[in-house]
Amino acid sequence: MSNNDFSRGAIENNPAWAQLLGLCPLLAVSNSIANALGLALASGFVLLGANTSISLLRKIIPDVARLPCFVLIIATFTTVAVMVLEAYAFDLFTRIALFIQIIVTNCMILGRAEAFASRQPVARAIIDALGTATGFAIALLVLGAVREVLGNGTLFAEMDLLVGAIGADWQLTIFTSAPLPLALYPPGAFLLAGLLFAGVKAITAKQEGAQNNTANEASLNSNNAN
Amino acid sequence: MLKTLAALALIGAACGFLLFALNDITRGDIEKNRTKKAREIMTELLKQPLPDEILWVDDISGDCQLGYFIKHAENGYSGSINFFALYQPIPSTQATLNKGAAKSEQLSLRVTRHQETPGIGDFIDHNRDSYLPDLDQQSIAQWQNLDNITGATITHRAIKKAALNIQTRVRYHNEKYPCVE
Repeated sequence: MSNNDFSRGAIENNPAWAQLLGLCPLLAVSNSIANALGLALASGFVLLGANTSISLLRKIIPDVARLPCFVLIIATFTTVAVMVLEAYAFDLFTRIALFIQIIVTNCMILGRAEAFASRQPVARAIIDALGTATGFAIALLVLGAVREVLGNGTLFAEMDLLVGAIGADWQLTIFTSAPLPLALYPPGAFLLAGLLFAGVKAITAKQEGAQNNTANEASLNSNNAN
Repeated sequence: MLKTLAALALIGAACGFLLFALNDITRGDIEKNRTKKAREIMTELLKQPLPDEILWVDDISGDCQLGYFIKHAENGYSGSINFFALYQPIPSTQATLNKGAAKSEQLSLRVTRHQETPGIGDFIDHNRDSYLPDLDQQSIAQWQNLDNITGATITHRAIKKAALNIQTRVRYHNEKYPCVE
């Protein structure tokens, strides 16, 4: 059950490539791994906090006023993320502040609250939040890595904004000049995200096709045997 | 109905308490970060080291000789745009001598906080775009003559309005606290 909850959120129902939720911050902030990781951590924190609180309070939250309650709880955790980042990672905050603030309107978080956390016990709500946050983080980081390599020619640049002075030496230079500067801009983000989602869809379809073939063969064999 | 209101009040109070407590913990660090950032911007604008202590009156600091730093907010496309400005009056004698580019003041602007549309309206962020640094030390009239940026008209109007309102604020400040020559 728990493994299912996790893998469903992370892979099968991935908020980015399966449900196309939270695309605005996904496309806007994924221009480097440092920015993508910052947003992934902040979104994960809000998702985990909101899912846990909503599941804990699900018997108190009145059904007629559940959406205002969810939004209030999500807004609280978003404000907590904003305050913590502004206090302890100010440089990163100044770069992605707007996208941290709009986590409050991220359909992915409200969707998990309404569809899952408000109906399930705390443990399952936490695992669902971790799975969904991991799925969102995978999409952000893959897109962030591809865009950073193509647009800047580097990987892990400016990680010191996120992890402090230790991250300053992490930068890898893959290309001396950017092979595709367009990747850093919104059109590049749309194109690369489209290609990424199509790639995932093709792999999933291939796997499903292989599974169907195996099932068909098994059923044919059993019919022949009979 | 009563039960619903009680539940809403309880959740609201819990959220409020959490934010109140966290604000108490992070307030000092946030203030320190903002002050540090403000000093960096002020040094960049003034192009010389700042004194350790800066006295602010009505969000204006400075004098007639050095110029004035002004903290200003103007409505943008999506909430307020917070500016940091350096307004430097030019003595009338100097302005008369240099008739070709006669101006009685020069204004430089930086944006410290905004929520404009990313990619379209964030040209005002000096960390992303050199738009504002390229306009340093323009007169108020020159600020008013800028071309609008397509797709970011409201953001652009906010800049023009900020330039005018900053001038008004400094003039009012000068009347209240006249220059000591």
